[in-house]
Amino acid sequence: MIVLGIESSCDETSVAILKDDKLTANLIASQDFHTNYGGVVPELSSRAHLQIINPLVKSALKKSNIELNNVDLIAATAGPGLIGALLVGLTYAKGLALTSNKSFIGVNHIEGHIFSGFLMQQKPEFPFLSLVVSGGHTLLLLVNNFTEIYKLGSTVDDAVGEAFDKVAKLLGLGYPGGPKIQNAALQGNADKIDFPVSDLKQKLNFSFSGLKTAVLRYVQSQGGVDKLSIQNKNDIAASFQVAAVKALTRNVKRALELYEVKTISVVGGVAANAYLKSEITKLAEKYKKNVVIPDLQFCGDNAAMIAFRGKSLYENGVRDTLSCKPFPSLSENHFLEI
Amino acid sequence: MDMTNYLPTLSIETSDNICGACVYFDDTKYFTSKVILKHSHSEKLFEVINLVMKQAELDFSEIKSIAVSAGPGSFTGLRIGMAAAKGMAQSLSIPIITVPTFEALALQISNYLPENSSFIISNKVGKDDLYFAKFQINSNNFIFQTELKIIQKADFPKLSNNQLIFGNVNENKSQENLLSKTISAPDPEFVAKWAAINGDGKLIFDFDYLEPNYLKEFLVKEKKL
Ligand SMILES: Nc1ncnc2c1ncn2[C@@H]1O[C@H](COP(=O)(O)OP(=O)(O)OP(=O)(O)O)[C@@H](O)[C@H]1O
Ligand SMILES: [Mg+2]
Repeated sequence: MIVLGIESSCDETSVAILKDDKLTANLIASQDFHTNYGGVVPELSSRAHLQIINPLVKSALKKSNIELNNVDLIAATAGPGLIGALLVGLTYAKGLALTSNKSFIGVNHIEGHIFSGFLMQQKPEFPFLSLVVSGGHTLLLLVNNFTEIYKLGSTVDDAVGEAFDKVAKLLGLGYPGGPKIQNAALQGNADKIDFPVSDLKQKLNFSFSGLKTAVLRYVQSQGGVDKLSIQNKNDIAASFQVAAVKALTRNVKRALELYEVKTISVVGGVAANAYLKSEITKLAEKYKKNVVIPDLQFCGDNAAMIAFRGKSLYENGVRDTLSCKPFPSLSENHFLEI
Repeated sequence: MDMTNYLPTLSIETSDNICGACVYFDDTKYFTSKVILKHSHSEKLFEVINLVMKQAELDFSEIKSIAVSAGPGSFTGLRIGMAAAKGMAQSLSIPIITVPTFEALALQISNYLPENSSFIISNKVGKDDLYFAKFQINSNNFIFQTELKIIQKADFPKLSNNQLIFGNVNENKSQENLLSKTISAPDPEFVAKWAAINGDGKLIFDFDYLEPNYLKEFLVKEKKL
């Protein structure tokens, strides 16, 4: 079975081709120009998607040595994401599917992230614990199989990636914040400042706005960001990173005490964070679980995960019509309640 | 490149409140359908296309070109049309024709007006500006009297004095002139017809980086950090 995947939910246009279990192309065009504006400008993002989508599809087909005719399923991200951006990839994909008479599935981007570990050599084993840590989402999920996903916890305010981005901005480190914080933290002393890790009534939920505010207060107490030395900034970055990662691993640990799983899988852009990886790996060793953290190319937004999710749904009998709608956010009850 | 070799064309109109498609052979044989509904073009477009294809009893392999209403208009609407056009043209290996939206609408309007009469089409852009063009009927077709441009809303009364006005600029306005209509986008058959008349030499085979005619440059407002 051959799947063509298309992703355009934010600032990456991506096209992938999955031939049975083999990924033959995963092309990602990143819109770097947003860095000039300190964040993604939706209109510019939509314009760029429309320009690059067709060349990417052609290259992906060529790279995989196939023609559109050989494709069995076209899977495109339907949401969550920026509506204008989603519309480009989704509508383009529908146009392809209609005229080439292929099956079509509109994929949930977050479900794409959840199953992105299956693109790795060593795949998650069901049931697994999934920690989704991206720019817009922080979720802890129990995944029993490809269609049964339980929500154990989620953030009540900011997403963890958002916290990295905001703190980086606050420290004047630039955008996107995650990698900047990670780099600064390498030179910093994490024991310097004791930032709070908030605990919620719902023990598996997360909160990051208190942490962000604590960093802001600290910066203010030092006389503002302009008064900070590079070493100060590095220490703040390192201390923040430790607190943020602690908030994540603490809940993973709690979930491990409550639910029997085979694998821990950490996915989404923040899964690229080296410190988070090492802390999760330590935890997994202690609990004797496998860890699956996708490679960098599968952590951020990519079409390979969309193609894979499309395929797993297809194999479970799912088909969408071309009236499938884009949606901006994940509905509150999208996942099953435990 | 003779346009007759690229008919029937499948036209798409999504630039404003109309979501429509037409399979067009010639002025005496075409199949057209539209819905008027904002914010659901991506969902409705393919239903409309399926409908006209069924009416025409055609297989997609028999479509020779895609004529897409290319703007100006709603940015998102134009992108939906262009994204669909690219997907279909790529899969069918056929060319795209970008149809100037205001010209297709002028073509439609010229059907109903006497020789030499002139009219304005003006659609809203943002809070303070308008798309604006002035046409004159000339042997069942039209010529431009004022090229398509963006004007300030404040200048509109002066520019449109005593003129027949079409476009959504008429919305919520007491109509002085009964002939004036809020019609703001062409019906899909006129998008196709424009392509059939003007398509020679305008067929785009390499549409990789093709964009709609946004007309208005997009300026990023200063964001506070
Ligand atoms: N090394 C890193 N350490 C921490 N955070 C990182 C790192 N690399 C990337 N990130 C963060 O990952 C986020 C981007 O991830 P991703 O692309 O998955 O999110 P998104 O697609 O914008 O959001 P969503 O998938 O929720 O819609 C950003 O917030 C970025 O700062
Ligand atoms: Mg993402």
